[in-house]
Amino acid sequence: MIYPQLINYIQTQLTQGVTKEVIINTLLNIGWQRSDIDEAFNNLSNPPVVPPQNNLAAQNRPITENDYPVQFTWIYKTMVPLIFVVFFSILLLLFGFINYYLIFLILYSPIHFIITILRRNNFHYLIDARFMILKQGIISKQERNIPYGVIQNVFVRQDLFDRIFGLSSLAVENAAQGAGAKERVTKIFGMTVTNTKKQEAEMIGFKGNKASVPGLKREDAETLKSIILDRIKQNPIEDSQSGL
Amino acid sequence: MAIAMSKTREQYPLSTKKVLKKTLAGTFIWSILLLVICIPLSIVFATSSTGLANYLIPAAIGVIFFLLIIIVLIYSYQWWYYNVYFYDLTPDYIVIKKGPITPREITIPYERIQDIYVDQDILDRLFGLYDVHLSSATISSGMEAHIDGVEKPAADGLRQLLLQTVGDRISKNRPQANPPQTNPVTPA
Repeated sequence: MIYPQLINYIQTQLTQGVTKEVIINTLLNIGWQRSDIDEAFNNLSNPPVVPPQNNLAAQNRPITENDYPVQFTWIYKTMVPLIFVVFFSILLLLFGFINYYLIFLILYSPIHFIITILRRNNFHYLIDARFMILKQGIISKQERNIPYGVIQNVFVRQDLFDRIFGLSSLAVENAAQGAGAKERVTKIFGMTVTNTKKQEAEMIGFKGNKASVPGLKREDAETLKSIILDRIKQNPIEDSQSGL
Repeated sequence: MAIAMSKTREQYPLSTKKVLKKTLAGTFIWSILLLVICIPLSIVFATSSTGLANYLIPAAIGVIFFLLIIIVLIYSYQWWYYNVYFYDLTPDYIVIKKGPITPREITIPYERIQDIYVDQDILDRLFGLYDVHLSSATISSGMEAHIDGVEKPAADGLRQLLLQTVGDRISKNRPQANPPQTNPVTPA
């Protein structure tokens, strides 16, 4: 961390002719960390202009979805399974197998396309110094603020179509209500038989305890993940409840 | 293909017996499935009046052949899975990445780890393998964040290392780690 008062002190000491080693020893003896001292020395020529309370802001400008956007190809990727189903249903209909559900499916698919585009356009995230602010909602707007201290896990996933399109999806979980209560895993002789992974429709935005940003470029997802992990590290919670 | 290696995996490696165990489990399930399908069918064929009964033995051979192909496929998939399995204990968090076709990665900062438990299921006991599970305060982390298929020394080592790291992390946060905010004393 950069401490402007430390930099000022070092500068005054240097102009008074005190040697660097003496300054460092003095500072170490009264409890300053060596890393902070070194950083102050490095910043002598250009001290930061921000006041000490906001010195984090200089390093952590807010990052929004404009920096790491949800790619438009994600919309195509979500449509791919639906297109297969629609194609198959059209074939069935042509063969005379009339089923109202199939007709509904065919009529619904362009609506699904438009809704997904609207969802993507209405989803905004802002990665601030202390909070993550997420906004979503086409008709009814929702906003959520997540402090970094409560983020429990960070997930990065790619499913099969993601790999084809070069996309990746990032999700962040906290300990809020609705923490995946419907997920059940059964293990038979060590092989996990679960029916939840397949039903997991990929969502954009937040729901329950999970905030998910799908459709990021592979490198963007990794960068965003390291940014979030960085912020988590810079915002530790003072009181840990792990009990260890 | 190359094994996804990390410093942690070198120290506490995944056992190759895991591949055998998963193959065995898969074989078991598939054979039960095939039995359930084939036995009623073969009874129907054997008691039918047409000459279908003559086809029983070639059909049985065909089914066994099919099972062998499935075993080979499962075995190669499990080897692929074993190679792509990645876990690393970095200074700030633990990252576990699994899945050859659909990679899934979970990152948990040490301060968020709620518990660490080690278990064995019945096939694990046969091969002497252990699963080390981590969880944070979410249910899905308990399912996703686990390192399965390590042998006893690696399991104990991982458990010790994790407990120690988490303990260090938490006790570091209690006393204020920030330097004193008062102005430095000018030397005499």
